[in-house]
Amino acid sequence: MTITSLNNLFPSGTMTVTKSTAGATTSATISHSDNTNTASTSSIKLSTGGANAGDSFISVTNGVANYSYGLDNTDTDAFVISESTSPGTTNSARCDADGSWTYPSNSAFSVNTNGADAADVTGNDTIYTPHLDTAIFNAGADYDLGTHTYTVPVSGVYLFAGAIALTGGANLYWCIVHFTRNGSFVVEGLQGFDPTANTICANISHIYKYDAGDTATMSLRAGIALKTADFAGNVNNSYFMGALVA
Amino acid sequence: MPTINTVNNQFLNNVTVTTAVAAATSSVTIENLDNTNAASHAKAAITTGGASGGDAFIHFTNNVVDWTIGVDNSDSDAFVISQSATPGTTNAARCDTAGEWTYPLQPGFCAQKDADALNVTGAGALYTVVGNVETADRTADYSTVTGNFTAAVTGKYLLSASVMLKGNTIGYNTSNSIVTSNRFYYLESRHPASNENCAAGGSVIADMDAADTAYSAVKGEGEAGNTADFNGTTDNNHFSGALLQ
Repeated sequence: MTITSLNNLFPSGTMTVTKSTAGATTSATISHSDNTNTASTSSIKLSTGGANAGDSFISVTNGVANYSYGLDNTDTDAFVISESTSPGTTNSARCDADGSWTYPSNSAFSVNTNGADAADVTGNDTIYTPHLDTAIFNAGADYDLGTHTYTVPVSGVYLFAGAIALTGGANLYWCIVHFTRNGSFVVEGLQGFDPTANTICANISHIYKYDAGDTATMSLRAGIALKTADFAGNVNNSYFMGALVA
Repeated sequence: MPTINTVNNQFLNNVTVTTAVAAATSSVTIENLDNTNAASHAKAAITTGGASGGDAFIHFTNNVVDWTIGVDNSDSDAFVISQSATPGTTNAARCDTAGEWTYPLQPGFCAQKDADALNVTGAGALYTVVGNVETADRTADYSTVTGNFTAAVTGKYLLSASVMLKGNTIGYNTSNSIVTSNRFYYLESRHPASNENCAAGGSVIADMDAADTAYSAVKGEGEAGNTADFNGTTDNNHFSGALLQ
């Protein structure tokens, strides 16, 4: 059917295009065929009445998963992409009115110590995984506070940063802090020794591609003396953190 | 309007679906009820005439704020999310035809200090670095007066800093510090007592609430007094950050 009238109105507020033929696509097409004028736009406008009204959004579903995206009127007019049938419930992305994007469901963690030292953990080149078991944040709960291991939830590019402090190991010369991927070292940072305070501090950061299910840890080793160096529990000096960035 | 069962129905002009009934939803539904074939799609297509035509987009508005999402024909056919009634004006996100996303309004900054500061630390004093040279400050969140970066929105921020102290005589620690409203991060560089310059740097992923602040500071240790100098060579110091998520 072709309807040629101008400004066709559906005053009931609803219109449905439906089909159940297997293998066919149900579609609504908004088309403007002119190719001579840059003002020849084609658009769908979703409009609500004002600040006291509801959201304007698009909902997409396959009958199993639901996503919606659009303007969330109850969240200071932010543009959101939500894992639900309406904006604002389980946002996976949010852009506020200033243009700042946040991704509430993205994996990220930051952990530090519980404040307690761990005695005699290295100093003779022994590899030690620090007891970083206090979460500052652990979005996605992908960092295991018991095993001190981060498990990558989705393939992507991740940023990791970490720092450690060792004390009490007389005659130490160096300390190396490592990041691992599936148990293998992927980056190391070396730091020297402060004999005045018997202290070594080291920090590293890196960006690396990880696959879903990969594990990441931070460990350290120091030498070349006896195994008398203590891991310092100072919460300001020792931490491990990471985030999905791309 | 009654049910129309004909194939390929066309409106050759604009269509408006409207209601003013309180608490009712005005909606257009495109549904495919088949659940047996993976090609049984439901699609809304928005098309324009070609490279010399206009934009194809969706416009969301509550008549207070406007957002659009779609193809910006005049911007190399990029897919954009814009804070306006048409694509390309005040882009909040942009994906080019190679699939690379940028976020033009995302907070991000880098500042450096281009002058020495004499006798500021060495015996444990914490010296706040106020970068007076900005190489980036996308949304004006860094103050060259206070040295503070103020978080525009609650989120997780990458913060990086580097510092160098000079004028040491017996110093043994240069503690590069990133200080946020929530916590201190010490990124220390320790060494045997020395009169050499000493640099320290590092990065953290910091939890910051909206309006929280972060700044770069340095603490030298080992001297008898605060006689060590902050090295103001811009190659040797910086404080930078960006909203990650």
